[in-house]
Amino acid sequence: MGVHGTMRRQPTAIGLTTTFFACLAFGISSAARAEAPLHVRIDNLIDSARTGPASNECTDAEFLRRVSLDLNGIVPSAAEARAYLNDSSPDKRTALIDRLLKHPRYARHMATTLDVMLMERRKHAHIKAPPWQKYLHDSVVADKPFNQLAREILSADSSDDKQRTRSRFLLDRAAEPHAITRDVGRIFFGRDLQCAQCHDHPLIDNYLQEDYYGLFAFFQRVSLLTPKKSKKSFLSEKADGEAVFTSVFTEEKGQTLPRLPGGLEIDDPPVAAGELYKVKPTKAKAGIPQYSRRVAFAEQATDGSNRAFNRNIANRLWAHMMGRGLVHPLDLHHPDNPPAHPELLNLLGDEFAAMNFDIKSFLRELALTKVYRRSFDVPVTANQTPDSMAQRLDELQQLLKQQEAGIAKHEAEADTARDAVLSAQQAFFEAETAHKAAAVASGAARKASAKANKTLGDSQKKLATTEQAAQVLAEALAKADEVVKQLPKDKQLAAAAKTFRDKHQKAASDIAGLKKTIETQTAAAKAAEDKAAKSQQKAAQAAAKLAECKQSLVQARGPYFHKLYAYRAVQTSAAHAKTLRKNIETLTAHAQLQRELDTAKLAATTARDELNKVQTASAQAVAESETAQAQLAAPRKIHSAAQRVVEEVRSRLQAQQPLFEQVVAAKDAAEIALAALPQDADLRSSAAKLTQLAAQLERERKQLQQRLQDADNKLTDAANALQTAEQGAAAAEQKHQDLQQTTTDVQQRLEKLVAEQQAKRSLLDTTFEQLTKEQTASFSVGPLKPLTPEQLCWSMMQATGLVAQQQKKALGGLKEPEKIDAAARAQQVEAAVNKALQKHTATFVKTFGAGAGQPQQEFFGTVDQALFFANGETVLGWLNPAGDNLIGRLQSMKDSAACAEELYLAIHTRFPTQQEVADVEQYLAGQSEKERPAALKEIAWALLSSVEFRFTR
Amino acid sequence: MRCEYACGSVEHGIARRQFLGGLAAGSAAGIVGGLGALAQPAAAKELTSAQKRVLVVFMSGGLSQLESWDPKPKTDTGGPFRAIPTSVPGTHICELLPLTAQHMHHLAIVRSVNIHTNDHGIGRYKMVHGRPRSAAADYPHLGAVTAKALERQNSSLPGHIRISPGGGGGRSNNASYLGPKYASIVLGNGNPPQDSTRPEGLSTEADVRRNDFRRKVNERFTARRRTAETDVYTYNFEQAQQLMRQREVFDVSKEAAADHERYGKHDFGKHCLLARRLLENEITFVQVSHSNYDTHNENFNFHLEQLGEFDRSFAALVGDLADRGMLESTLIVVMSEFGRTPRINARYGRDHWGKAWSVVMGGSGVQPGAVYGATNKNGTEVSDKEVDHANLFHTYLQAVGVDSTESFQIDGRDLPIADPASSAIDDLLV
Repeated sequence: MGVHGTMRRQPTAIGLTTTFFACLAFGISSAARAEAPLHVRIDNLIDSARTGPASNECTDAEFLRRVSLDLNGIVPSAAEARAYLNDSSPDKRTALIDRLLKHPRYARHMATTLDVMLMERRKHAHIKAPPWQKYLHDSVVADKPFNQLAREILSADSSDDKQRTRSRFLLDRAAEPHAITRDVGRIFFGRDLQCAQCHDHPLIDNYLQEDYYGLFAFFQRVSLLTPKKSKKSFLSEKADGEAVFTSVFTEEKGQTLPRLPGGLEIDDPPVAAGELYKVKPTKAKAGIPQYSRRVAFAEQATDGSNRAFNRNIANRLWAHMMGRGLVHPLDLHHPDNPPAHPELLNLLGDEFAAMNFDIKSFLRELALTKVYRRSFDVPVTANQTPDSMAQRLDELQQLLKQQEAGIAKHEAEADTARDAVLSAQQAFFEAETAHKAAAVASGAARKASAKANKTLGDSQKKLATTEQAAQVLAEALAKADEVVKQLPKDKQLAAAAKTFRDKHQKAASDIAGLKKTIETQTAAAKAAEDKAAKSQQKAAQAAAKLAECKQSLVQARGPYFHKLYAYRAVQTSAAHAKTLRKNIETLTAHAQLQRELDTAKLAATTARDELNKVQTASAQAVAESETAQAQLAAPRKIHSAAQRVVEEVRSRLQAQQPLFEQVVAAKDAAEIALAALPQDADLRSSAAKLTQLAAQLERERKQLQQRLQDADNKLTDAANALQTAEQGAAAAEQKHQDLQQTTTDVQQRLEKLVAEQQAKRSLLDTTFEQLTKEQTASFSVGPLKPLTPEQLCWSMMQATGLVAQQQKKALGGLKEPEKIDAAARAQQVEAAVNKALQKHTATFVKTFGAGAGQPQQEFFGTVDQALFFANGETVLGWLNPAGDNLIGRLQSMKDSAACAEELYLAIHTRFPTQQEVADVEQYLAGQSEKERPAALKEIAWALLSSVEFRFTR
Repeated sequence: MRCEYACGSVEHGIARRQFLGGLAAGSAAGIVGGLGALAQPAAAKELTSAQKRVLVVFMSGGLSQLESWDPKPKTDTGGPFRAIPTSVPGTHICELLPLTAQHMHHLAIVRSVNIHTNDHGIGRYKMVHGRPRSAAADYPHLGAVTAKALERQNSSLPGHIRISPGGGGGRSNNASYLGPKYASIVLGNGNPPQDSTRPEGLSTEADVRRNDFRRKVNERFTARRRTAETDVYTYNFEQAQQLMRQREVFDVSKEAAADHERYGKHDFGKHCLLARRLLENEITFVQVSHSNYDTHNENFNFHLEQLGEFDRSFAALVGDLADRGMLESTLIVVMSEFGRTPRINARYGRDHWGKAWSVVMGGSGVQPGAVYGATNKNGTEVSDKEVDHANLFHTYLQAVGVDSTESFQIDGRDLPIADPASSAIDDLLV
């Protein structure tokens, strides 16, 4: 690709394949190429790049709801859903896609989609919304290629009544160059460059101030004109004005010609000074320049050669179907936010251009892809990390290393090229200053020369007059002299002749003086003229120098932009590789965490088993200990009985002791006394009695002693037995306590393990969430797409039966319906239904739409939305039974299961599960005939305000 | 792996609550939004412990600074009214504000405001958005900024409320890139939010029943797939239920008759009393308006009448906030779209005047009793310490502890909270 300074039409994208150009040049459609259909190539690319598992294919019901919302902006009616779900033909999905694309709702929905994309729900200012929407609707009906639509909108002449409506994009942005620059950047190129208006973007390295002003230069000559006493405003454009900017941070000054994203600078073509305008701008008339930068933009951006333009719209249409862009957010295309699949985005952009920007065919291809049919269920991720994943990671690391080196190289090259641009720019600015000074000097010299010439001219004029007077005087003098000669005495005549002579002499002397003056002035004029010529030459030189500097600046910029774009391309690739790496890391981390969780679960289970065992053993020990304790009772009893016997005997023995001692003492005394008095019979008898008594007592004592001995022996035995039993019990108790300690230990270990498991589980949850996000972002999992306000409104009106009622009414209102074909009939019915019901969308847009002039894709939820559903009259009103609307139909059904089926088909576009049927039956059970409609309404309300209704699945 | 969200385990319950907490701190547009600092639990906790609030009283049409905060009696521009002393020695305000004068030790006057416009629309926009509107850029309203920066966790009440003197209701479109979640909910003529009462014919039991059914349906679905967005959606319904239970917060008739009497029974009095009620219930931002000060004719008669209403209600409100200890945490601002010309026109009116006028603030973070800046002798020019809407915007935010030099991060965009080329009036801040 050659780099020429002032090319008007040059290939503006870097790295376009020759094939692509050839296709454009020869108009070969993609179908003619020996390649698989686009939807197959899309799937192949996605499959080859996929890192994790993908979701299964969605069900028929999910597909029906999804594709109906995406292509027609409305859910199917219960009857349509039933018919489709009961249809067993194998190609019913393709047939459905084609049916929906032919349906009049397609144009309605796409017109709305384009309107929201282009105007972002701005209030109308200069052009009313309905004609604008009609223009879009007509465009979709006519299958107008998107590039043509964009060109029409961006190049519209607001003074031409035929084009005025479509100038809304520009006029309702007050034809303000910055507003247009921002929104054209976002909406047509996917680049929100606003922050780069005053300085290079602080966060996004690749949004430069020169990028902003390159775009701005196309629009800066545009302004809004409201002629006095006119109710209309117009877009007026000048033929001059250059984009010059200064960074508020670095104070570095810059200047740029118009430049499309990804393209080179485009200079204005030469236009003769007198022919700058087709219509000269005045206070009353909008200017139309001979060469309009805006129109040039509209043509060159949309001619298929600008890849940034092509990719942006392809990405937006992709997001329309898939729920998010390959680049997301949609207006942040830059290297740090790489596409989910760079190759795929290139393919889509190129192919969309190659199929002549035909929106319908493109959407059809997207709808046919496998990726469009993914279920929203998150797939079961494999628990093991496949080795291939590790290998893939290695490869990526390798690739990244190479890319880093590449980035450094490209950065250096871009920097060098930029330095050349900066010095060329410096020279340009200097030449510009010099040129300005030379032009001023030249102007002054020209003025001085003109003045000198005028002075000279004045003198020459005066000389001529004086000479003429002198001539007349000379003639008069001669005649007077003749008369004096004839009448010499006449004094009066003599005096007159003298006067003539004096006057003539005076004139002669004046002439001499003037001639001298003229001589001087001629010299001065000559000098001034020379000076002016020299100044002019200098100015011309300065102008030439300026042109030269401009040329070299533009020439320096060519390679710079090539280097810059190459640098951005490698950055994008590296960022994409990093995303892939991150995804693999998340997958790996998730699998690892899953394994760790499993291990933790296993450890906990083992610990739990162990605890069970220990607890069983412990319980047994308790029982054993209790038994041992119980077994102590008998020996204790025996022991205490033995003790009692010993004590009793011992106490009797002790009790007998004093009597025995007294008796022995008395016997001894009696024997002593008898020895002294042997004859004393009484004494003898007493002694004998005493002896007998003592002997008896002695016997008794002996007996008692014997018994004591026996009892003592028994006691000893009992004590022994008791001790043995007690030892047994103590052992059992010890065993119990030991087991109790073990239980506590195991329990603590288990708690720790459970805590670990919980921590792992929560980490796994987080990782799972992250993984789901990443898998959704790489289109391995179907997204949950929030319905747009219009989709929500129309779907609710469909589900509640409002749409069908209006359709019936419209059909009935058709004049001679048999005379028009089905397509025309459908068109008329749709138009009538739209006319009748469209008013309701305003409420939904107000409640569910983002702010005017803000991006409209992101979901948000607010409490007033829930209040609107819960208590607002709109939706609840639609749920009042009326004729054959939803609740009206349900009312006439006696069978609760049939009610459940109708409810789920109408609202959720699917048959209910058994459980769901049971729920409905339960809800309705016990309701009296009178309460039943209210209960049906409550169920319908709950289904309408459910997540499943709010999000496309 | 099957999603285990539905397992109902304790640990998951906790994670879910944290998840929701995080969402509440984030923007509606995505969980990534929000002040960087707020994403950290510690910072959020600190905020709840010192929950700040902002009350803006908007003097619609353009209050005359000469008949209010910056009187110039006995000059060619001064008009017929006198200046009276206030509770701050040395500070005088117009005699039309005798009750407010007694509370000036709670308030501060900025007498050197120049916003370089005499256009209602432009002036109003600059004053409440802190930056000029351009075709290329729309900025969030002070209320939206405040509601987001001072977002209350787990509150079902809206953070940004505008009490509209006229009717109306619903949600405004004034949050720009912060997202509709922070746009003002309008209480038309002081009435509770739209759709906040159960529809007729639906009993409490039936409402509970249908909501239980809705939850059951949702639980079944979210067991298959749950996202941040589905959480926000289901949470909104719970919020709606809570808001309906708390509907009395918006019902000014629950205030004592004596208070109604004190505040004045006119609309503005009612609205000020409602504002007190809302602030007491920790609503972050409340705006009350008083209309109409656009007095091209009969400036003096109009101010005499209008300010009579204003003085009574406003003084009562300031006094109550002070008495209830709420001034430390509540910033009060009295602003207009501009002031009025010193020159008195042929119809005894004053015209639009953005060049040298006054704004009053007080409470949280503001030097009590301060007078900042000055105009010249007859009020035709700022003579000292000129400030503009951007300086004031920074000051309001810093007064309630928001670092206005920071940025919001929305969808990968770095959006300065206030005009990065400007700064706060440090001398006014405590």
